[in-house]
Amino acid sequence: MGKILLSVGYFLVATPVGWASRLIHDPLSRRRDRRAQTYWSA
Amino acid sequence: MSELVLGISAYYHDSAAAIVRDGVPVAAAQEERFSRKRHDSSFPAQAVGYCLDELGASLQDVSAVAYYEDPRLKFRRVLATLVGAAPTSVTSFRDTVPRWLGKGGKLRTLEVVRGELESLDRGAVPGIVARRHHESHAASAFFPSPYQSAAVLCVDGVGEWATTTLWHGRGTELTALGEIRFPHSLGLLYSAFTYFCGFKVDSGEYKLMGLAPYGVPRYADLIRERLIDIKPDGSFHLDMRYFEYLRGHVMTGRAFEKLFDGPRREAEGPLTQREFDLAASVQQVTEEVMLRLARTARERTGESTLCLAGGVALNCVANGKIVEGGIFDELWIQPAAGDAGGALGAALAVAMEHGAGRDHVGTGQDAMSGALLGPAFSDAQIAEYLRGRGIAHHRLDPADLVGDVAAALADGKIVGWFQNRMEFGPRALGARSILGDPRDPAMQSAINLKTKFRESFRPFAPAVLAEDAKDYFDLSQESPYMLLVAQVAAARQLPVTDSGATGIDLLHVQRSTIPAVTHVDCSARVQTVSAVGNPGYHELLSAFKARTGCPVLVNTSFNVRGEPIVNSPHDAYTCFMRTNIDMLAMGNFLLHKSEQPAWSEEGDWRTEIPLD
Ligand SMILES: [Fe+2]
Repeated sequence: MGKILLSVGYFLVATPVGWASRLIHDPLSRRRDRRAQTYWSA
Repeated sequence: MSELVLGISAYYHDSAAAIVRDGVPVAAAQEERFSRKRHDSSFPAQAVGYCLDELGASLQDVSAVAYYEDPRLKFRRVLATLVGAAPTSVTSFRDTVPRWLGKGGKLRTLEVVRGELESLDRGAVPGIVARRHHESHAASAFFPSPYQSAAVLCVDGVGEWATTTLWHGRGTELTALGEIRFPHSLGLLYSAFTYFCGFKVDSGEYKLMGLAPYGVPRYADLIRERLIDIKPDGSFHLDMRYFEYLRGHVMTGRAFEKLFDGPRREAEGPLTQREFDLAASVQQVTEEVMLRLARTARERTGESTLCLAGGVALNCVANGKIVEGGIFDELWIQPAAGDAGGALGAALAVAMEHGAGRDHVGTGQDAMSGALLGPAFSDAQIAEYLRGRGIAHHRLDPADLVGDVAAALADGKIVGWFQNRMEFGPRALGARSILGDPRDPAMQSAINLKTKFRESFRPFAPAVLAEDAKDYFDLSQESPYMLLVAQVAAARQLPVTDSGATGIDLLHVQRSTIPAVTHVDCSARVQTVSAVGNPGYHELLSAFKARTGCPVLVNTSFNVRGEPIVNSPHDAYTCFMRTNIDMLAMGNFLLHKSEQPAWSEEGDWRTEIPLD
């Protein structure tokens, strides 16, 4: 895979997907929920 | 007919192979010991070869191969991380994605492992299955433990998603109770400080822990306020604005520098009070989290014993605090707590699923054979090596050899001790060890500078006769794998008048009757040695005690700085000759430095071994 192709894929696909997913559900749970009692997940 | 399962961990850090027979670990080794490349992460071809040789087996005799993590799930996490960090992760995206995709990419790890096993030409390769990274850790912590049931806690950097997991182990079953997910990771928090203090991530954590007693935890509150939010149940959340590992290849950046008074320390640069204090601070926070996690483990399972694994379980100071806290009656820690141990855990998980039992439970012993699961060399093999090379040596009866070595140690000599099967896991436990007299205040510097060629801010670990351990250390349980830190007993401590020493000179202030193994806070990283676990080593300690009254020896790994621990007689002889070790005891053979010819070799080996 060429570097250019990867960069194009990154900015055209990964970046918008990243933005959108962060708006919807924050997959890396970076936002801290101040009311959360625990950070354990089952 | 017995069932064999082969476990493999590879391609990240410290590759390893292990074979489990009917649920019992019978052979295990890290690839680095054979390839002589420290923390070798390539496919563990030689370690697999060794494990098969040990059992006289071919791959055909193995019923399943277990890989220690799930490559597909890990890729999804890596991709989610890169996408989540867009648009700031472009270089890391360009580097990482090709390594995963395509022929032979990491996404196809199981196919690659199959190809590697086939190319060993050791018989038909059985089915290969992937276990979860933390399941492998949990299996390595619980199944070989001496307990019928226990709470199990795994804490590390990261595998797939999980960075901390809690399990309930009962019989041959492990039930998952909860997890904390990437990027929130206690291991990565510790690694970030390791990196910031100028040490190597994934190996320098041990140094940072050794540095902590010099410092004052004056940054601990700042860490708790800004970096990590810790709940009463031990679960935690990192503020990712301060870390760089979502974006790229480094751990920390500008935000971290701003918080902690300037740029990171350069590797090998001078150590200042800031690094001491940073180490003390992150160590204190780590201990706090581990204590809370342990309490939660107790509450959620109702068990009175705890099993630990994962890289953070190598933090023997934190482990010691859990013991001291009396949260559990007893702790058992997998000696190969890091990812090498994942090979063993994956194999155990599969073996238990296939119906293996845990026959050792009830005997009071664990199933690890003292972690002596690596290659042994017979007297015939050692003799062949010595004669082949024309090396001066003496062959002795075992009792005479032990007596001579004890006498030499009492006389202040440094002894290379090469006996039995090699240890599995990062610590030398008396099979591939350098030994010395802990009562000698000069011993710490002597071994550090003339033998290990490394900085000397860490004291060595004491090996102590299990039956005498309480006379010397405040330790309420056995510590066969050197994974618990305890205070030197008050009766062995000496009054210290203010010497005016600061920084790492504090280590030279004598604080106990065993100064070479006493840290500046009077703690020690204890290994208790029992006659059952390692009879030959126990005999040596007994002989040293008979001669001197002291049941303790300095024990450090048999290697020089940056080099893997020695495996073969050749490795041992080379290390013996490159250093100022006075005597080498290999099997029943004793070698005196004074009888060896001058050592010469091509090139400067010190420049060829990379610093650790
Ligand atoms: Fe791990």
